[in-house]
Amino acid sequence: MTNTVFKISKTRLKEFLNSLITKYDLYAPVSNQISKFRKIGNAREVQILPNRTDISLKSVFFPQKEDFFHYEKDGEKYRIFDCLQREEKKR
Amino acid sequence: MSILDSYMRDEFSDPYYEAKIKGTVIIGMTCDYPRESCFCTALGGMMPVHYDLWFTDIEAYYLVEVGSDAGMQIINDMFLPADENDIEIKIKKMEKVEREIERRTKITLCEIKRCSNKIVARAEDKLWDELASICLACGKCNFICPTCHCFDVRDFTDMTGAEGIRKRVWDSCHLYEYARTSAENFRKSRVARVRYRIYDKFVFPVMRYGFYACTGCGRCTDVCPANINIKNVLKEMIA
Repeated sequence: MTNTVFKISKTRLKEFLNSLITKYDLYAPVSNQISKFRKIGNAREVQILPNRTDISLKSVFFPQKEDFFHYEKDGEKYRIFDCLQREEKKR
Repeated sequence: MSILDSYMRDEFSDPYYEAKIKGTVIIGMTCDYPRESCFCTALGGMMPVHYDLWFTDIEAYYLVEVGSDAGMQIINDMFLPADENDIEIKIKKMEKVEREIERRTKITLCEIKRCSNKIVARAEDKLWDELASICLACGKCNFICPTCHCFDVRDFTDMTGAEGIRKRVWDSCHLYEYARTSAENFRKSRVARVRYRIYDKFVFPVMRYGFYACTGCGRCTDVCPANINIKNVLKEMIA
């Protein structure tokens, strides 16, 4: 990396965020009484807050509830569907 | 996020966390002014150690610092090179916010560095009893904390048991059930649970990783129904 400090005009921030949305899932602060991170569809939804959000970024990567696997009985055996790999394992 | 990363991706890699964090680009922004509960400057400062891009409001522009190759890859023609004057504005702005936090907090990083040893030295102090007498053990501080990562694993089945789902859900070391095992509950008293949480932020992570598992965000203070202020607890501990 040669130059590691840049600047961007404030008027172009939303344009930049929309360019990210075309390549990435963008999670950014939104505020409706309680400020938190949410998946953004358009940069207009993003709210640039003067300080930290009420709810941290943690729940984006480590959600409050998360499925490990589903299972169902198949005769004498169980079939297991791994939620991560989305494939069936038999036991 | 780097604290959570240490827990989730260090000794054991959590595949569910890994699947989400892999390829993530972190873009942060400097605060304009701190909240009343904030004290991040006492625990490492306003900018995290690891980031991909870091924005700071410098009047008509955002100064953008690049912290990684992944960050560099998303720099495009909307960005202009920054000059020394831009960097100077950013430094002055950060200093102003840091001074404001320190004025409110009155805890310096230097004092905090001693707090791990001080807390251990006061393991049997009556301060824990005082804290436990006002703590409701509701677990809100755990759930709101950006670095708390304990979870429980539960099975949800239909009445016949023929089909079901295994989930993980957040757990809290403040809850009575947290330390209940098939043999016994090894942290029955509220005093032990209150002490454990403070240890798990300011003592155990220091022993294991060499950092405090607290970002100084003050969210636990904001949500506590008993008005327990973590800054005051630390001040009392290191007094």
